Amino acid sequence: MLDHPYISLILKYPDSFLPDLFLLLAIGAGLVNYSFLDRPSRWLFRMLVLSLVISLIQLHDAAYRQNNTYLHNLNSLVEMGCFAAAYRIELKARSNQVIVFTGLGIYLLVFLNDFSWTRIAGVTLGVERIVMIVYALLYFHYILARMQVQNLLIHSMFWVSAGAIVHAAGTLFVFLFVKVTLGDLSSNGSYALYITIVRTFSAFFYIILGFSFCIRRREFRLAERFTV
Amino acid sequence: MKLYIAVGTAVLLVMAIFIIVFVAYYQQKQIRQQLILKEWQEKYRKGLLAATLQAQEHERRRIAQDLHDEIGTMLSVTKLSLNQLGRTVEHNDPGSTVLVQKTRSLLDETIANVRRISRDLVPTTLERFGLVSALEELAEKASNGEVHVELSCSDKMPTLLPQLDLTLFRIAQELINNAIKHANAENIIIDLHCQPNGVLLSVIDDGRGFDLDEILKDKKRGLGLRNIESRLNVIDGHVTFDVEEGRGSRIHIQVKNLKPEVEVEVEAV
Ligand SMILES: Nc1ncnc2c1ncn2[C@@H]1O[C@H](COP(=O)(O)OP(=O)(O)O)[C@@H](O)[C@H]1O
Ligand SMILES: [Mg+2]
Repeated sequence: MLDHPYISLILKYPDSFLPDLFLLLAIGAGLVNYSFLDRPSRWLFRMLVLSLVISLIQLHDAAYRQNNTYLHNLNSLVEMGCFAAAYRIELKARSNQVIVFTGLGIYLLVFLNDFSWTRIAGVTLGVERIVMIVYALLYFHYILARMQVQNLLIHSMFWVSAGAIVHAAGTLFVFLFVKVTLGDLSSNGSYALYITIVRTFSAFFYIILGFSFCIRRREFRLAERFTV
Repeated sequence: MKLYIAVGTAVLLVMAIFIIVFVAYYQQKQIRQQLILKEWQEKYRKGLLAATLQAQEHERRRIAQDLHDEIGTMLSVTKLSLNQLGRTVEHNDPGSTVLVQKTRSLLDETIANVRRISRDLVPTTLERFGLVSALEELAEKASNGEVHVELSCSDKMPTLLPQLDLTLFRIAQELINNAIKHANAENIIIDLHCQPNGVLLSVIDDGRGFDLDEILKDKKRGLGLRNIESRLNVIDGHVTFDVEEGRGSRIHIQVKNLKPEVEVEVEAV
């Protein structure tokens, strides 16, 4: 049992499964509160489920010593797509939606040019982070301009945006300069450091997403009380 | 290079956190201001409403006074000269005596009507003897062969603020009028009860009832019912319509007997 490739892999690199643990927790939180999720949150939930599937394939590939770097790139595509969908629904002004689509378009162009099966597409991931930051800023501007959210601190999309902007800011340079950071596996151990940073921020983002699903329930109740 | 990456990342993170904190803080502040503004608007609206109602009462009082003092006096004088005329006519032209008699009784009726109208315009009993007496009078006046209006109230009514008295009285007037006019009721009960720190006034009839939603949907109808709500708005009161088509209506008015925000002075006549 213990010598099954999956198990031995997990036992060998336990810390690399930290984000996956929080991913599972976030999906659990999403499932528990699923009936309270609004449409943007459902897109984020879909993103998490797809990320989990990709993660499982990654685990499988790694266990059987096959190349799995392209899955990183695919995961980025999934994230970007679902994010754009969520923000397109949440940002109701026409001009904002144009910006959302433009960001997605630029990302797709970069993705098509930069995609690779065998290495991490650093520029694509960097651009993904820049677009995420743009979305989050756009959203912040939107809520400040509209003033419709009564209590921001229990508004899930605010937390999602805050988590996204922190996650993106923390890992932007790591991916933009991927050759220096994650490029050389051999040398003085910088790979380990940077991959830990990336994993930490991913884990953090998953926690925030899970939390945002949980507060949807409260916000939903509150909205119900106001409308009755 | 690695140093640059570290510093760049740190700077970005600090900026991101700063932005998040700023957005949260600024938004909450704006929301608080919005709330204050809304409260202020609400207060202003109430003040306006109170002023309107007060102006209405003033105007009624003025009309009542004019009716009583001017028209009433003129009519009395007219009656005097008619009496003189009557005596002259009796001597010279006995045939016209009947006509004079008829005119006199018409004049008497007019005088009585003017008195009644001017009394109805200003709730004198309310101001002199309080709400219970005024409602008693109202019930008495409204009762006739077809309808029976009855007042039931708890023994010890607390003294209410004058503004509350007037509001409750006007509302009761409207509700009883409605029950007589629209409901075809035989029995109407006015029920006045004190509650801990408030008063409950109910008007119950056994008439044919109505569909409240339908009435309120039509902007032109239901003016009386809407007026009740705006009157109550000023004194933070509350109305519950327990009504339905096909059965008697029960309308409950609840007011708090506390010092209200908006003062409306009611002057003595
Ligand atoms: N007690 C009642 N019983 C039956 N119908 C009523 C009663 N009170 C009000 N209504 C209905 O509601 C309508 C609106 O009443 P109201 O706002 O007082 O206006 P108004 O008395 O000037 O018609 C009336 O036309 C009548 O059809
Ligand atoms: Mg009426």
